[in-house]
Amino acid sequence: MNKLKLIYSSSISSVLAVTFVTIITIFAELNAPLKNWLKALTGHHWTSKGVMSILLYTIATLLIYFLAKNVDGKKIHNTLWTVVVTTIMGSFALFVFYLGHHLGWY
Amino acid sequence: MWEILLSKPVLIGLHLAFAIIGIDAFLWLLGEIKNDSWRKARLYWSAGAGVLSFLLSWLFGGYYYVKYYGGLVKPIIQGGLAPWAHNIIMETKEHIFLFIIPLAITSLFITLLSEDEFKSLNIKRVLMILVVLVAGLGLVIGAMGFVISAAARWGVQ
Repeated sequence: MNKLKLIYSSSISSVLAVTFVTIITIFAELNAPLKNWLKALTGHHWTSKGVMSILLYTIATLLIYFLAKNVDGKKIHNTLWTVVVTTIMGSFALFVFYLGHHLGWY
Repeated sequence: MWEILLSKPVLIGLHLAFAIIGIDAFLWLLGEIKNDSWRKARLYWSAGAGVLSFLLSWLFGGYYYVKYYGGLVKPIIQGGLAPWAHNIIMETKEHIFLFIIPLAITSLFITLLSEDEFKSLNIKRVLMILVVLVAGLGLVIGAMGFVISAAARWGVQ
């Protein structure tokens, strides 16, 4: 097992999973058919998002692990920072979205 | 047995207990990384315990949320004095929780490195921030859970 490739692929997949959850959550709140589709998939929209995000993370980690080349310290360093920034931005985006949704900004 | 295990108070208790263990494990991991000693067993077990605990917290909390929250708790909060506790806090909390598992697993993978590999990557600072982020998100989610419970308990008075 190549540990550097594993860390690199897990980092990129984390970014993808966080971004996916943030975007699909906001879109589903603004688009009733999408939210209904998520509900129909597993019985609850939140369960569907959770299952889909874990599947995305797992499949992306495997794919990137086998496809990635020339993984070095700089690449890992940069992707770990991207994970941190994406997570903070995703958390903030969801909070502001639901705040605005509740206050009737849109 | 299953009746007790899957009852509302036990599910909430297990959800919270495993979240606290996960947060504590990641704070332990933070100390190990800062310590510079790179003791593999301690790093691996603290990160592993953290990942497992967050997974269990997710499963117990998720079961409670899907099975009971929407039908029993949500209508009380939305009909009470603090509907924002569901509309803003719970909606944000339930989705941010989904961020934690991939981040925690990534941290666990880093503990597989040898000391020489870790030092050559020069990722100590960013790893510490990532671990703080996992524990910090756990703490914020815990505080949000308290607000939501308080809104259900006292929001109708």
